[in-house]
Amino acid sequence: MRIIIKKIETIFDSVYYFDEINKAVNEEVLIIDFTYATFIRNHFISIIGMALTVIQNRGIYVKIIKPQNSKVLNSMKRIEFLSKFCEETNQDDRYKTMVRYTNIPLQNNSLVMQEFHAHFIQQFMGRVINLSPKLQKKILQKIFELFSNVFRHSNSALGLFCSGQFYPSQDKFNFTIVDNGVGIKRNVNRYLSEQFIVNRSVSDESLGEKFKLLNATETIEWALMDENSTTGEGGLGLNLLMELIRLSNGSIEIISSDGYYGVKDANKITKILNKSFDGTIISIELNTNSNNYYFLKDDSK
Amino acid sequence: MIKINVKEVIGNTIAMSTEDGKKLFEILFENIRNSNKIELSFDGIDILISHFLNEGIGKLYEKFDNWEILDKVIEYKEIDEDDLELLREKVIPTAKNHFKDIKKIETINKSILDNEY
Repeated sequence: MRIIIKKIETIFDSVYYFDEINKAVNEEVLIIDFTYATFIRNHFISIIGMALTVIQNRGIYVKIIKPQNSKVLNSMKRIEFLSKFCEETNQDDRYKTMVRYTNIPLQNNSLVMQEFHAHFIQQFMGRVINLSPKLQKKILQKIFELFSNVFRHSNSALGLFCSGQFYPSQDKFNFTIVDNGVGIKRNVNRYLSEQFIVNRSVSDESLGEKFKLLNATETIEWALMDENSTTGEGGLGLNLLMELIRLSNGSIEIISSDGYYGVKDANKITKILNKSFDGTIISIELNTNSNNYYFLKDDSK
Repeated sequence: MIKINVKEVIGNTIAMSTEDGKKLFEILFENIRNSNKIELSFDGIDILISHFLNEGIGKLYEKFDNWEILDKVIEYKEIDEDDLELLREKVIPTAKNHFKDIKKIETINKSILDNEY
């Protein structure tokens, strides 16, 4: 089985290739052919990486054919993706823009987390124009809030996968985190149905009142709201991320099960997808110019 | 005043996990129950997230009944001002809202705020 990847520009391109790769079940070898790839948006490489890991866990050998385009090839080496799936050395990220492709297990991840933290600080401290240390720390903190959400809610067998990139000339930072866990829809509906049973009145019970399942986008919106958590213990993490996105005039895209939720330029888009994604993807874009954040104005560092 | 260093309690510079939050909770809970005022230092902590603060500090509001005293019994040191704001403006109010109707089993000795030793 051979899958030819020429371009990954959007989250939907990534999910399309995820599904294509995920079709491999009985093959001995899966060939991922990047020969004619002209553009791969680096922060979405985590989604492809998770797909390939899923396949490898089925005992299928993954063979990568590298891109001919040197810009694409070098980016894939700089983000440390190729070395995970074929014999290829990483390339020094001399521009210091890449948040390397990383797989973090749900358990016993202390060392990987320390390494990720050190990588993020050392790679970018003082190297991204207009990004103050304070904003850098704030962004990193929100990434760890996302990690924490996956660790606690996803039950993802392969852990989480992430990758990102700074675009200093555009004052942008893109980051994508993906897991193959139970998804927001199932988690939220399970929690709300349990709450419904606990809280329903005797008359509702006698009338046979049943819990109405929320659709996938409704569950995503529920999870993003302040204080909502499927552990019932004040979920703040996603809400804090949304706050930073609002302040930075950034954007977010979430795909979980068959739900899509996006916010761009303060406009919200939701839709139910034709095909369900086994897990959750959260992709963010933040403005990295500290001068655009009112709360960082007196940050002289 | 009892001095507690978060990094020493959790043995980690990343304050994030449920387990580490519980370690902090246990030590704070015991000290408050024993009427000790606490100086809690975050020196050496690189990353502090809301879930850890909720587990370690927010959940104290589930156990103790006198929240006015509880608000004052821990003095926070070497903590980033944004993290302190996160704790005071988000984590603690969320915990108070969440635990407002729960019967608390522990009472704080009112003299705790006078304890300096």
